[in-house]
Parts: sequence; C-alpha cells; structure tokens
Amino acid sequence: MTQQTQRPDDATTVRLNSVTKDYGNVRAVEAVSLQIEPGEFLVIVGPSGCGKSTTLRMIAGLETISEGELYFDGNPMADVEASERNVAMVFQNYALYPHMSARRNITFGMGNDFTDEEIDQRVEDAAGILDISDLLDRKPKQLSGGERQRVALGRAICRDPDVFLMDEPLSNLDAKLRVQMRAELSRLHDELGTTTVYVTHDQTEAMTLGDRVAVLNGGRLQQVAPPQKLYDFPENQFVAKFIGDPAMNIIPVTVKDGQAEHPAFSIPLPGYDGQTGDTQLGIRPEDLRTVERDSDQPTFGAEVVVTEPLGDTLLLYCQTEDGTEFKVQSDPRQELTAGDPVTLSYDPERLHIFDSESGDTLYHSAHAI
Amino acid sequence: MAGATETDPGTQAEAGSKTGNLVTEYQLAWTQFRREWKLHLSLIVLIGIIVFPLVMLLMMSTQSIQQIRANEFAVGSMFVENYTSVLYDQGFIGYMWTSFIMATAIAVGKVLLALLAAMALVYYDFPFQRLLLIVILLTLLLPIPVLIVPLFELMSNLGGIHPLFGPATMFALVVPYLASPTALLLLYQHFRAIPDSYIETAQLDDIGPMRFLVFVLVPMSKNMLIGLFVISFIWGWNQYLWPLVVDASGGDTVVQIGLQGLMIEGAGEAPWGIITAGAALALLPPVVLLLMLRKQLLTTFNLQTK
Repeated sequence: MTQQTQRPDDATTVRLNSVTKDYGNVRAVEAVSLQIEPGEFLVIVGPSGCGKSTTLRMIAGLETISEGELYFDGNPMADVEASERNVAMVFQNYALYPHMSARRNITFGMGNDFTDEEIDQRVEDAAGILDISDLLDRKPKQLSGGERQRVALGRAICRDPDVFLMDEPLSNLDAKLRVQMRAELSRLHDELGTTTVYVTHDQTEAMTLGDRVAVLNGGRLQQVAPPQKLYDFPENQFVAKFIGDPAMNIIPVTVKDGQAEHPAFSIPLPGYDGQTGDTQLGIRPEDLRTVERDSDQPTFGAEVVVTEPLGDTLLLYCQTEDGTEFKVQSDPRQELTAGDPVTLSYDPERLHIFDSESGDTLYHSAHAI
Repeated sequence: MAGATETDPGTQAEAGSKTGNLVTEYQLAWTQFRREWKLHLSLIVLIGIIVFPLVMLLMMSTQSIQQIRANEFAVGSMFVENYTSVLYDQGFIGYMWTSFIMATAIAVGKVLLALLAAMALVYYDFPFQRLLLIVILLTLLLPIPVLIVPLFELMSNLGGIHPLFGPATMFALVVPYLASPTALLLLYQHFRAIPDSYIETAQLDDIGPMRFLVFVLVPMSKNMLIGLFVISFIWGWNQYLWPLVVDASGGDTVVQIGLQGLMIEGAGEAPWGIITAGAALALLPPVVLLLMLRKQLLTTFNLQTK
C-alpha cells in the first residue's frame, strides 16, 4: 500500500501485551500480544466467535481486560475510561440515532472536546471527504446503507481520534457496495494516516485492506503478517485454510526419503528436513492444473466429481482412486464433466507440509527453491 | 380495488383482454364481492354487537324519561337539558376535573418511574439485579384491592387522607398507583431490544446517563412512552374502588364515583337520561385520547411498526 500518510509522526502506537479476556469460565481471548504501528491499518480476521470483536472492544475500553496490558504510545490504558482514550468506533449497525439528522448524529457528544466553530468546520471537512455534504440534514431512515456507512465514518473522523476502531463496518452492505466502500476506506486511511484496527470475518476484506493482517482462532493469535506473506507462508494449517478462496487443499501424506507419498502420487520435497511419517500436504487449488497425459512434468491422475465454471476459471472438484478429494482451479472453457479422468500437475514451488497433530507448518517448498 | 384482485389469474386474464373497461371493472368488483362478502358480513355483525350498547347509551342520554319508558330508538329532545343537568346540577364539571388531574398524575408518574427503573435495570450493573426484577414482577400478584386496608392505614398515617378533597387527598389517590410492574416490563423489554452499540457510542463520547436518557433513550422510545401514557391514563381514569375508600366524604370526587352517585340520587324511578349522559361524559376523555394517540398505542403492543 502506498504510504501518503498526512501525519505519520503523531499517529499512535497500540500495544497489546499478553491480553486475555475471561467471561466466567470461558476464555474468549487468550494471551494476545500485538503491536500496531503508528498509522498502520491492521485487520483482525477470524471465524465468528474467535474473539476478534472482544479484542477490539478491549482496545476501545468497552470491555475490561482480565489479564495482560494495553498501551497507547507506551501509556497503560488499564485505568483509562473508554471516553478518555480518544478512540472512535464504527459499528456494524452504524449506531446512528434514528431521531437525529446525519449532522446531529455526527456532532452529538462532540461538545465536550470542541468549540462550536471547530465542530462546524470539522463536519464540513469530513462531509467533503466522504461526499455527504448534501445528506447532512436527512435522518438515517432517509439514507441508503452506503450513505449511513459514510455518516458513521464521518462521525468517527470528526472526533480526530488517535485510533480508529472498526467492527465489521461493511458487513451490512450488499456485495457491490462493499467492494466500493472497501476501496474508499483504503483511500481514507491513506489520506488521514490514523492508526486503524479493523475487525472482519471476511478474508478478502482483510487481505485488501490491511497493511498487516492478524489471524485469530479460538481466542489465540495464529499469525500476524502482511497479506501476501500470510498467503504464501502460512504459519499453520488454520491460517493456510482460512486465507484464500477457494481454500487450500489439505491432503494426508506420508513423508519418506524426501518425498511426500500418497497412494495416487509421490511428490519430491527438496530440502525437506522436518519430521517424517504422517503429515498433511497443503496445496492451493490454483497451484494445481490440468495437463496433457504425456506432459514431461510430474503428473498424477484423478477423476472429476463436480465442475463449477466461474467464468475466469473452472473450479474442479476431483477425487483420486483412493477417495481423496481436492479442488483444482483450472483454465476456463474446457470440455470437462463429472466422471472425466484428468491428468494433474502442480507448482513445485508452492507446496506446504503441516504437522498432522499440531497443524504447525513444517515446510514451505518456496524456501527450498 | 383492482389491485387486490390482481393475484386472481381469472380476473387478470379478463383485465388483460381489454374488452371494454366498464365491463371489466364491474366484473372485478363482482369477483371481489363474491370472494369477500362473508368476511365483510361477519365483521359488520361483530362491530354492530360491540357498538350497539354505546349507541343505545348515547341515544338515551338525549331522551326524556317518557321517551325512555316508551323504548324509543331515536335521538331524543332532551340533549341540552340532560347534559347541563349532569355537568352543573350534579357537579360533573368538578368530578371530571378531579378525575383528569388524578389520571394525568398517575399516567405521568407511572411512565416516569417505570422509565427510570427500566433504565437502571437494563443499563447498570448492580448486585441482585435479576432478583430485584423478579420481586418487582411479583408485585403483579398484589393488586390494590388486595392491599386496600393496609394501604388506607399507610396513607392515613402519612396524613394523606383528608375529609375534603385537596392536595393531600390527591396525594393519597395517586401514589399507590405509581409503581407499575407492567409498564416497567414493557420498557425493560423495549430497552433490551435497542442494540448495545447505541449506548457504547454514547459511552465513547462521554455522554452522561442523564443526557443519554433525555437525548437518546426517550426519543428512541417515544411511541412506547406515549402508548404507556395512554394506557395508564385510561386505567387511572377508570379507577373506582380506591377513590371510594380514600374519599371519606364530600368534595369533588372522581367521575366514576359521581356516576354511581347519580344512580342512588332521589328515590323512585332512576333518571336514566341523566345517568346515561353522565356515562357518556365519563367516556369522553379516554376516547379523545385514544383517537389522538392510537398510532403510538399500536406500536406499544407491536401491532404496527413505524
């Protein structure tokens, strides 16, 4: 992402040190340590119930932290009220008061920190940035979903917060508008340069928006990395499967003499020095492709079970003789139907081996080549 | 009318053929009538049954004793005489004013108290919250008639019972009605249905509880509060037993007791024209209120959204 940040110097650092949240006997978030750099756009992503919203709400001060510490620019936040943290939050349902105009929604509560002239000026500026100047006198009911979203963003921007916190802000929008608002959020962040923490369950949103992405599962931090690194070098099987659509194929194999052995194929793993025996081979559907039978590349045979023509690609659900199922993202416009035999090849640089039990990554073939 | 029958494939085909608009419209109306006449008839009969006594009452309130004795079913000649007699000779002006003050005080007090209690129960954490709510709801089992003797003693000791109606007795009339578990429960459920993100937004903006109540909670609950006010007002207006107990003697009593007074006034034949005129007057304020605020009342019971 291009960094054209306006004020990168006074942006805030947020640091979570082993932050844990318990609800009675249930541990929602477990020992999450994370540093969000000044001006960074960090996305927290994970399946529902993974603790991502709880983490965000702890940063906001809407939830107390059971164990661990939270720092803004090195200042501990444990005893600082939510209203004193100077954060602005955008909620999934926008939380616009239905009886107030858009303008009143934006300004309500600003009187504590700003003079009237400042408020007017800020509303005008924010409305200009978000292109909602004409909508300020309307009630939320008279606004479309995208417009409400902008007003909610306007409310956050006007407060000139140290940290933006966004809790699935695009989830209530239809698919097309979501893509559009995604691009706008990116632009907005480049313009403002405010440290932003963004929570979503949608991995596409996470990949497109985040400077870095933190993957959370079961309350535990799985990996924090820039999107491409997360995609190419997942640290465990969960991240590998969660990031990427269609999801990575996980095929049980036996590693022996530097080869991944499977009844249907045998794939060499150059430079492999991890454990031998039963492991999981990870390979993304786009790293598999159909080839001619007499190809000089290493190949193996399989049978097509289901075809899904997606336009730009043809998604094949395949099965080897022993019943192992996996997906192949193949070239479009092939005459293939269920039951057809196919010959498949793979990208030797894009193989991953995971531990069968812990799911930890043992090997990326890209490192070896 | 045509829109309602659009789903009928037969009539749609007829309308589509466009063989003269008049015929088609007539046919459409006829189809609709054939389909719905039973429904309309039963509704008309039911409404008739409900409205008939009211119409009788209104007619009798305009008739003279002779006309009533003759069982005339028509508007009588004594409208002005009956109503003036009730309002001035029987003192209904004063009674209605007392009832109005009492019902308004009960309704306002009830709504305010329930509003604050529901806000405390929904938005604050304190020990034994759940237990407190249950205890409050249990008071539903103790309506005022059950408590009349101890309540009378309590009010007497507080100096609330005065031989003549005055501020003190009004206090005794109103106070026992103020705490309403029903109103609390309705508001409690309503507040819980408001997404948390509203209060969290306010929390992040450092909006205090009073500002949140006045600027957010009350406007967002406007229809619910108005509906509760209407129900409470009508309910208060119709109270009879407790005012009868409190009102030891004399003064401007409430309208319901005044109405009872008309029945025993004078020996011999009951003055039905005057009694029915009084009953009609007693109906007036609740009906006016209902007509004015019926939309909000429907939202209170979720019968109508928006």
